[in-house]
Amino acid sequence: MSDFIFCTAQYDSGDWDSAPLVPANLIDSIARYTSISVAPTGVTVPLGSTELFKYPLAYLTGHLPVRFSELERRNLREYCDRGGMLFVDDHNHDIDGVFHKSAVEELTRAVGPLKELPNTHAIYSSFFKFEDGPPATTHELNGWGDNLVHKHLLAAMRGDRIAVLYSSKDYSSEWGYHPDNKRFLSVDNTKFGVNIVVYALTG
Amino acid sequence: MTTLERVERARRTLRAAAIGAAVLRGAAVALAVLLLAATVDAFVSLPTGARQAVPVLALIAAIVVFARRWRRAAVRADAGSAALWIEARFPSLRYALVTAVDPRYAGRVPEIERVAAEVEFEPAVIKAARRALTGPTIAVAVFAVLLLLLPSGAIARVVRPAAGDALSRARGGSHVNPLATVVVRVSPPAYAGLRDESLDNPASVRALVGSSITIEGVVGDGAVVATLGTTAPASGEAHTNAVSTADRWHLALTMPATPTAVRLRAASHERLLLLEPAPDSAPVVLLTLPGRDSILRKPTGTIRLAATASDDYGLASGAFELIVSSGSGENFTFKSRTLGAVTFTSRTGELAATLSLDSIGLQPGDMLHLRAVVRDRNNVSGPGVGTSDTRTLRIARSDEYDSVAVDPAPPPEAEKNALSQRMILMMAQALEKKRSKISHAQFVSESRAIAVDQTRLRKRVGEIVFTRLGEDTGEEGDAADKRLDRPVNADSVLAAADRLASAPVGTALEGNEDETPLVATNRPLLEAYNAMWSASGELEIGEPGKAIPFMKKALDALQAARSAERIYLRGKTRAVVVDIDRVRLQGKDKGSASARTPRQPADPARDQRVARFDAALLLTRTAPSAAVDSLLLLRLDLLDRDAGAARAIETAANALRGGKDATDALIRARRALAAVPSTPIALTAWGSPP
Amino acid sequence: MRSPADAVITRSVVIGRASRAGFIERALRAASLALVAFAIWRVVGAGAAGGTLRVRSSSLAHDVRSLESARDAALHVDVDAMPSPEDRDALAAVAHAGTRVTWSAATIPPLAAVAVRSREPGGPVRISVASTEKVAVSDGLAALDSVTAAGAAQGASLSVGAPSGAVAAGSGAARTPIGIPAGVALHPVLLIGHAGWEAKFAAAALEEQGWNVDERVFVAPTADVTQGAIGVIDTAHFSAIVALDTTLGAVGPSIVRFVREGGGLLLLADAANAPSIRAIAPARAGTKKTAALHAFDSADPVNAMPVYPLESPRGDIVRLTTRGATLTSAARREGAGRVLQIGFDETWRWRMQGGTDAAAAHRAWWSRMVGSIAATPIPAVDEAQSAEGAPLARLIGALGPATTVEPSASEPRRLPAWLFPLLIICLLAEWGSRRWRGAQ
Repeated sequence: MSDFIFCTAQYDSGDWDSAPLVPANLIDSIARYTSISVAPTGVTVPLGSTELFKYPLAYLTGHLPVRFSELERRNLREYCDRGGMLFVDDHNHDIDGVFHKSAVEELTRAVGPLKELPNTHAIYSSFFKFEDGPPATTHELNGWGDNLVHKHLLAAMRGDRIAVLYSSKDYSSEWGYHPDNKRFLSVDNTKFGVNIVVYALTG
Repeated sequence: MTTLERVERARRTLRAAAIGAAVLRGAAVALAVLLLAATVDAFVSLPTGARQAVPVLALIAAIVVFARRWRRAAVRADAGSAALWIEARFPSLRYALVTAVDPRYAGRVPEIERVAAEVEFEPAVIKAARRALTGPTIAVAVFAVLLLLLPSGAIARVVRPAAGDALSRARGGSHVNPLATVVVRVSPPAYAGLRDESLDNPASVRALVGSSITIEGVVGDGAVVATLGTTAPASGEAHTNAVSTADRWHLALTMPATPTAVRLRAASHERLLLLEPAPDSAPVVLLTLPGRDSILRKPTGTIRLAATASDDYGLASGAFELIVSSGSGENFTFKSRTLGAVTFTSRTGELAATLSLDSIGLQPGDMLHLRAVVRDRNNVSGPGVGTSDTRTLRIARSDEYDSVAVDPAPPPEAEKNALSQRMILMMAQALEKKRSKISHAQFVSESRAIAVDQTRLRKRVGEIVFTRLGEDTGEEGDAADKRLDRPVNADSVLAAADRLASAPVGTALEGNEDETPLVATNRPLLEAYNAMWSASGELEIGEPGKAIPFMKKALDALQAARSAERIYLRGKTRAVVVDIDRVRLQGKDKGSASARTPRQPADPARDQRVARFDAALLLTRTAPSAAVDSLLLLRLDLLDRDAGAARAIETAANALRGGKDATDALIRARRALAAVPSTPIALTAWGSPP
Repeated sequence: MRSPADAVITRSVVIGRASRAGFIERALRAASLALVAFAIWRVVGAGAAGGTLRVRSSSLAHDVRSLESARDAALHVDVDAMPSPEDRDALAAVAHAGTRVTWSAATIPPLAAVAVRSREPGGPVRISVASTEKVAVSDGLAALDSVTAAGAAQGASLSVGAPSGAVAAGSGAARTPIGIPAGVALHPVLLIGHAGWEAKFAAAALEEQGWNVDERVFVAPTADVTQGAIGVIDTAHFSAIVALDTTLGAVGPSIVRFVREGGGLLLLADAANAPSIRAIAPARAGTKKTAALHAFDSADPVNAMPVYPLESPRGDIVRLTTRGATLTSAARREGAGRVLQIGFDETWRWRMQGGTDAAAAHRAWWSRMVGSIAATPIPAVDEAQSAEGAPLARLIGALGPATTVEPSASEPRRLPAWLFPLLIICLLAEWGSRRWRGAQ
């Protein structure tokens, strides 16, 4: 059985590498809470590369405008059609921000429209239970970005499965710390990340 | 009038009659061909291609007949021939005319003139000419009359054949099936710039969304009603009544956005027509300048922007879109604008503009994102928007080199401290090593120099800690300096800071139940601070060996503090290797079991479609028209799902509709639908090899 | 009034006519008798002579009645077309009645065709054929496909989805109906393994192909992802069990019993090394080896997968596939059930990294693997048609092997079609002649 390898998607435009500690943090959480065989480091793969298909779950974030090339768009569409899942997080936590607008536009062109994911979706109970849907981030609670607490995540579906999970909650900031510092938190805020990975691996 | 002149006159008469007869015979043959084609078409509808060939065929036949007669007329091209023709009919001339027209004897033999004058051959010539013209003239007249007696539409179908003239030969009546012959006229939306199109008895109509579709037929048995709907069970159906004018009925529809079946009904008659929307693609845009992403040293000067665009039906407008992002880390601001807007009038176009970097106020570190956006003329279901790839231009910061492709921000404060502490430690270890080789005074001097660096570093750490704990070092001046000039009681400082912060953030921490995050994250720095204090004290008195343990302790504490920071690296992403074995299942929280829901089959309707196809196949033996309708409805379902199968079914349906052998097409369609038979595989002892 | 001389002349003319008519009548009577004699000789004479009758199989339908009523000493059949089952049985009956029946064929290829209903959703029909020539398979609607079975060592098989009406195979002059077993209901498949891409995409492939999948995927000691109520593990509840790795959890001990009762077990990767099923596994899974070929976008994506070589195989296995010298899959029977061990791992890469049709091919592969071991009730078969399938073999079974040396033989003792009409004409002419004379 092959290890689960956390994959960060690198796209041509924008700062795809704006949350470099998220992969390690989530890898740590996967190991910390589950018995899933996981690789100790993540990989970064260009979105327009065939290498992407080696990693059926990919994470994409940034602050800057997202502009996919035609190759990236086509690759992403094929990736989702085959069963891959892309988790996109707006590092600006701002629905009026340029990342949100451009990413939603590009994702819609590539894989179809993003719709609100009901808070009863299986992803909120795939491992830990999140009764109220996606957990709020400190950035939302502090009123940063768009000064909103986003009640829902967005998703593009293939059948009844999530192909693209889109978050405006800035989990990239929330989870962007060294995993060793998890011990300083009273409540581990990466638990929803575990749910995403478990959903992707078992859905 | 001399004999020669009389013969010449007779020759002209005969020649004119021959040419006239040739023309009339050619015309008669042409009319006969048209009459024959029109008569056949009245009973068996000739295809448009065949009808288009009929006028050409008639013309060729006319030319051939005319040419043939012309050659015969050429016999009388000279006076000698005419004279012989007359001599043959008037033997009494005894070759007088032939001799008279011979240049050797012309005018020299009076006897000839006398003999010729005695014979009146002109009436015979005129009579012969009249007789030559009579037959062809009658033939032309008869054929023309017969053609005129045919219905006007019938003549038009062979004289000016065109798609959509199927109704010309159809006649209405109370017992006529009004759906037997239908013509569909398609008017594409104006933006497409396409010509109108007419189709005779089509099974399906493919046109742009929004096209005006007019279905026409002859009035007959019952009023025509159209039912529109897809084959999906949940889709609704709309009914439209046809409008009758004179002997025709008309039905006006608009091409919908999804494939739709139009079921025409009149009394007991029924006919199916499929409406297939043709896609209008979005414009294709290629940004040619700037050719690639780059980093600019200064935000001044101009850059050229250029793009090309093309569309399948026509471009409307385009512009360059600019987004400037400023900031770094967690704080970005954005502003956007457009540039170089143009209006297009054709299917291809170019955009060009010059961008003044000074005008958009770029600052070092800013990023400029460029792309071209073009819209097409689709004002019905669009407009389609095409965008080019995006180019990103970044303005370098003053401390960057042009060749650096990523932002090499300096290491965070905590990391810098760690680097410095390691360097001071190494200096102290090196000094301790050479203790025996240098004088004591020099040893102490160098030790105190290291102590100065250690003290400076300690103060920087202190500033970070006390700033974070809410004790602003800047405002209290000397007090702060004093504070930084002595060791601290970490617990008391932290406790005080904790009280001040009154942070509501959590209470329980891993490892130490009493610590809050504020305390926990700063404790390593305070430990480092105190260790540095001790180290600098030892260094001050020339004891670097005793300082080294404190320095190592400070370094370890700084490392821990560095790990506790949320660090946003701006250079190459540093791989963090998680010690999986160490953390495996060490989490305090436990997940719970969850239930998975099954996936849907990849194509749940496939078996149903195969069954529908098989049912249609059975119908081909008993009710071919019903089989064609079934196949067409099946094809409608397949249009968006399986283009190959849809094509195969269309071929089969057309073959059946045309009364041709559809076996091959049906076999192909069946294979495409069922996706089997599969490639044969060799047998194994087990049956199903991997 | 006529003179005596006239009367003499008239009489002599009449006498002359009468003698000619009498001659003709005698000739006609003789011809009639000859024809009757010929008919009697044809019917009984030749048989009594003890010769061998020779018939063509293509005209058996016409001849078979006379063959049954006659009592020839020997009968030779030229098989120019495969006799129908009824004709073949009639010949066998003639042979059993004492007539020596031989046959020969120059152009009939051996043909065997059999259909099985795949134990897969939708029940596609797998038709296996063997022949020395191309075999065409057709159903009641149209031709389905043709395969060249001669190239393969043991024939070839093809899937035909859902055939309509009677299915038949033809090869040269040989043609045979193929009985299609009825479709059967499939119980769910139980999929067990650790959470990972293999579990996800194996379940997806099976479900997308129409299988009902129950699953238990292990995520953490206290948290499994389950689908379906996994209660009793038996053939009444499951068709097959798919073990993706050595993690079998509480289900492990039930698996052996399940297989012995008739269930199917598919062991993927190193699952055969799980202690609870090691006893029934075809082989031990060795150390994982990566493939030399890493491209899944190729004609042979299966060989791009990493593989756990099958080592120390048991003696009763059927070796299925190898990669070089490495045994990569094998199967065996255990009790009433079947165990298929496939050493391939990371099959999900086929779906994600393969060519255009990779997802469909991956689905079909998984379905085929599970279908090859799944337990199902025995389907009903059309006995009349399933009894056929190998027409040449059936003919040999009924009449013995073909003769290489053809015996001298006579034509069948059929009365010529012209005999009876000619006889009637002769008799009528003779009667008419006599009547004519009487009228004079």
